[in-house]
Amino acid sequence: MNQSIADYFSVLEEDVSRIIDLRGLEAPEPMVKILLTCSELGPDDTFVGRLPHAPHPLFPHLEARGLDWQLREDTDGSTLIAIRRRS
Amino acid sequence: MKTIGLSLDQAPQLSIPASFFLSVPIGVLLAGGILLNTGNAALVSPWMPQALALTHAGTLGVLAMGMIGALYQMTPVVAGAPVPLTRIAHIVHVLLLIGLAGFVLRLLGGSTMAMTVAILCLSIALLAFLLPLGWALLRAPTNDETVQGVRLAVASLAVITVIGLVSASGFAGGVFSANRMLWVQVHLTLALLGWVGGLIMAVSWQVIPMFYLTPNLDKATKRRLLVLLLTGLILPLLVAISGVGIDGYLSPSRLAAIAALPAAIVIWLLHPALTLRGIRNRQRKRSDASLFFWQAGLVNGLLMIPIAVAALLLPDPRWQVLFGWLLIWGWAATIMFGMLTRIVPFLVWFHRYSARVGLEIVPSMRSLLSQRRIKTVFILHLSSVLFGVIAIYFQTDWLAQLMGLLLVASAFGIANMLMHVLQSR
Repeated sequence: MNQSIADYFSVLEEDVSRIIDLRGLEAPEPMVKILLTCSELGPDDTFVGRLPHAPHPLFPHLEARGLDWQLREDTDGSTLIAIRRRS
Repeated sequence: MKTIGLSLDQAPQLSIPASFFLSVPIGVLLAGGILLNTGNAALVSPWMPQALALTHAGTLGVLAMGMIGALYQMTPVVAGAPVPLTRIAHIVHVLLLIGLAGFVLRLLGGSTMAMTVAILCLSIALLAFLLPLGWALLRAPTNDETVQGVRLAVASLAVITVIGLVSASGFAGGVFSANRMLWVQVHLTLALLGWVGGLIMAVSWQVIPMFYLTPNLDKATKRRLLVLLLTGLILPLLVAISGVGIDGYLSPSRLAAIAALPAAIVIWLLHPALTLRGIRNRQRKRSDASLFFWQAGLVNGLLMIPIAVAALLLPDPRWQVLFGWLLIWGWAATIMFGMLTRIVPFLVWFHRYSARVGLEIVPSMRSLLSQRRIKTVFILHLSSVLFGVIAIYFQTDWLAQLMGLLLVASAFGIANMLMHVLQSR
């Protein structure tokens, strides 16, 4: 599982082992958590989080902060998001 | 990396949904004013012009305002597709208000010119709303069950707009169609089950798990509900187009009402039961006043089929009035007010504070609207609904006017709550 996620996102497998599950948080707490974490992302860090659905309102903020992101929608309806600084 | 989504300038400005949401209490105020003005005449029979005015103050003035405002905001978020030409949303808003005013004025004894103006304004407003929204929904990259439900609701709105405007022309100096009762039945079915019910159901699939951490309904169940709903919307349309009834047993309008049963079962039985079960099984069971609205509205929804049967079979017109009252105010408006207590703080937080998260300390969304304010609005609204039931039963002018006063109080409560959140800085 982690290997396929790492391949999909082109990130290190060790980063995938730290998937932050945000599904137990009420809106807009997942967005707050992502933006807070991403404000401290280093140039080589990747944030990987699992959300209940695609977080469309988050994307403009990621764009404005110079962050790249990639989504994977899984069969259970949840979405994995990988975020890192734009190189 | 893959970049799906919106740019900042594609998201609608807060002023667009906010202007529609702020018109919701105006609709409630109008309904209260109608009752104060007409007294019991609006509660005698659903076919009285005063009752039609009261009904449309609720459907156009309250429900449509909230739903149109929400669709402008939610379509980009839920479907991932920006609505083009959102700048004309303010024109849509103003035309809807003028149209509603003309409509009510004519039904309360005004000139036919008022209805002509209303028909013109409502036609332009709904066309200017439906075309860009329909375009966005058809091109949406997301095609989940929520988006499908929203499409069904919007398609229903398009059909009821045409039927409604043609029917309204009878009040503008034209003639009523010979099949008026039949088409009114289809208008009611598509409006309440397709447009209002379809949208409530589709949006609840998104917002209830998102805001209250309830379990997601599985995709297969959602699809079955949508198919059943669609069946219950198409069958009455087919009855109306064919114009057939069952000789000696059922008139076409009654057959059309019965043909809507699959949709009624979805919207007033399965959806409330499944949503109430989801709320009971939510992950974080903290007290939340906005849930009172959902729970009260959904329980009211469960009453609608028995009351509809009584209204269809019993000769006493009070059953029909009670059906309309509980449907608009007890079920749909209660749920919509519950949505507003979460959606409006979310929008304000998103537009004013989210960009600063991680850069400085920002207030939490929950701090923008206190539980006390939400409870006050809930008590005022629930009182008006319950008092309405009493007024419909007793049929006296002073009770109807007291019911109107409670609606006025409720309108001020909602306006105060919305203004408080929207003025947060």
